Amino acid sequence: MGMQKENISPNELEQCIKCTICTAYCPMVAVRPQYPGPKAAGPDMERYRLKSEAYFEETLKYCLNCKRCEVACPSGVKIADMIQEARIEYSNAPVKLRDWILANTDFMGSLASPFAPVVNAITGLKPAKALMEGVLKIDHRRTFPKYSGEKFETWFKKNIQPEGLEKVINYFHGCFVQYNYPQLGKDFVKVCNALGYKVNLLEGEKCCGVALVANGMASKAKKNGKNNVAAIEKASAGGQVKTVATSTSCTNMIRNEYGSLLGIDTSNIKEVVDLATRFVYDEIVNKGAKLKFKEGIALNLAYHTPCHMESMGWQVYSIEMLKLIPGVKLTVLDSNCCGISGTYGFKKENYEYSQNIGAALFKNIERVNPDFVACDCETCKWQIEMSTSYKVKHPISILAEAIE
Amino acid sequence: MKYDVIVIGGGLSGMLTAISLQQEGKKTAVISAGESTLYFSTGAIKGSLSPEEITRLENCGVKIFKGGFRLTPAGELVKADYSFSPCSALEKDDLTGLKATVFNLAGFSDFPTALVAAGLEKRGAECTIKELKIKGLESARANLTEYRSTTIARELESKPALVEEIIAEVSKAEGIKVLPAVFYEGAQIKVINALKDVLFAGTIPPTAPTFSLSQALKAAYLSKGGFIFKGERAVNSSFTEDGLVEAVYCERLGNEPLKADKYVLATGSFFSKGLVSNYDKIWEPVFNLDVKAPEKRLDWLSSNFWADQPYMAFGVVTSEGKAVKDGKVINNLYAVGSVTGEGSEHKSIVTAFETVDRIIKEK
Repeated sequence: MGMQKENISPNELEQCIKCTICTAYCPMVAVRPQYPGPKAAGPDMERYRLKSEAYFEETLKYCLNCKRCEVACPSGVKIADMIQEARIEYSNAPVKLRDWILANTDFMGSLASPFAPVVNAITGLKPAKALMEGVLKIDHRRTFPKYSGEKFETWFKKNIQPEGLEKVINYFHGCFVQYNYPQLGKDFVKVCNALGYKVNLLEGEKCCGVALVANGMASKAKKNGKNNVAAIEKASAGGQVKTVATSTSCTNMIRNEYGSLLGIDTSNIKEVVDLATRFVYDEIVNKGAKLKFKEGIALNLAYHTPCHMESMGWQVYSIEMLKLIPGVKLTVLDSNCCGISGTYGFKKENYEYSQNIGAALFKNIERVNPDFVACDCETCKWQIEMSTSYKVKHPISILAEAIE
Repeated sequence: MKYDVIVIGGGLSGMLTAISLQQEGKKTAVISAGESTLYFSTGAIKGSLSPEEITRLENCGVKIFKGGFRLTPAGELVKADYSFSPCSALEKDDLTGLKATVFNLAGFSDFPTALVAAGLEKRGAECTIKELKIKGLESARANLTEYRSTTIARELESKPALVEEIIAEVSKAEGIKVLPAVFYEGAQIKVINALKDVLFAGTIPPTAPTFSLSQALKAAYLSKGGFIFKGERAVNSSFTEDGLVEAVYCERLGNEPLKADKYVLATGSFFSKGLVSNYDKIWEPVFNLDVKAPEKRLDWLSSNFWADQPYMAFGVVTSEGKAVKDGKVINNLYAVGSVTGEGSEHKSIVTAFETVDRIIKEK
């Protein structure tokens, strides 16, 4: 019989029963009523969009793609993917210069890095901030991320890893480690070496593209994505060697959104792409690797779950990995969006909303009063450090500092 | 990852089980595939609860209030024994000779005032319908289709002046004052204290009282050190040679086995996919447990749309709270709540605490 036995629809559209629980959990709807909310912007309008693209609304750009709607959905509907796909498919809004600058993290990084001290000094100055706000509509209250004078790859080439490491791991460092914060990459190398792994870099790694998609440049993201998938596959020795990323958003982009949003075939690489803390946890807990910890560690930490981590469901690895460090007291913060969502919160028109979304999290951090906040996401780090008096460290950096 | 007890399902029964066990010193985790059907509840509990059960609920962060006759969005007066939200309720359902005013907020379409008024009139009340125009709520109405009870409740909780405005308007009416349940606890208590004879009628989901309840359950569990695998769906399991559950596997964790000494299945009924069906059969998807349901598809449904449908009673077979597979009791797997069939708030509470007691007693 030719009867369809299972309910099949793209992004599980047909599973939506309009219960509106997603909208009740959307951090954007709570502060910005102009945003139609995930149910309306996703499954409701999708039915119309399938008939005619005239039903596409530019208000979909207010979506943070935090995916908290998908986490809350009782029916497994891929609401955020539906919204982002519609933006990629139907949006005709021209890309603004400001968005181009914010999204092309690698281009801007390679431009700024050689002049890092000058660039950092200038982006911190009031007149420059006024100019950025006036000309580019980048909010003057936003602290601009600092650039590093030495790119991570430059350091990596000079660094000599210990002899006799038999196992190999590839590292997808991402733009943040490359241009803004090479220390995280150095920490990752230290941890891997301690676990008996020699770290390799991919040949010709490109920006994962998460910011490009968010700013309406999906075709460039796809180009980068194809390049990265090929590089990861080439370096995987037929699926034997993993490629690990420290950034949750890069990991989520490569593993999940390359396929779901950009239509890139990731079947050969999906399982070799891993998140740093998940990889380290597996090595220690499941494979029995031993790390030598420093004595007398006493740390009071609060863990913040980034949205893309929540969406991947892997926060348990970062949390459990941190708990393996003797002397660590860890409070897991109520999972709330910090509001920055990559480049979203940099834009003048979004600044207030961004800070309002994060308010609950900031208050919670102050209440817990940790030594510092642990978090796997680079843009959450910028947001929390700017909006609270607390420093934010990546779990891998915390681990690196705790071992001999 | 290894726990003492893993609870699969983060609805009312699953959370009560997990919180209570965590409280007893067990290391637990909850696997929760999205939010639960609790959001479809008006907060009414039908069935008796012992004082001990009420104390245990309070220890789980759940407040229990006195019941009475409550109004459903369809205008029915339903007798509830208890309630999750602070509501004044009617003590009797004969309203002959009483006056009632049904209020709605302008633009709020999840509260069918005509149905509610008709329901009250059927019981003898003399009803008027009034619209409340609260200017301060207009910003929340920017998006008409999403002007829902939880949206309004959030606005009212953060803007106490608007609640005062509602109270001032409503207090002008005589007799019973009916309002949609669009308040979180703080605002609702304020309204109850200020107005005599106020009656809250349930709205179309997601309902405001159960939104707060759901938040309270999560907060209570996390504060006791529990861990929720949020947005995670258990998809598979493995068994030991002795027929015990060895591990549960989840969608996003892939090959990572989640292990525990004991497991509690609290995955709900069809809506939450605790039970799944196609045209041929009905099954329980995580462990493939025995399910009590007739074989023939036509026996699953009643042709009367308004009748209680037979499938609502379907559930996994249990024996003294434990699940059964291929006719054999699985000694370390319990089932609670709607997945055992005929789900209700009351059943979720009672089966959760029974299972907690069994697990504690068994050591």
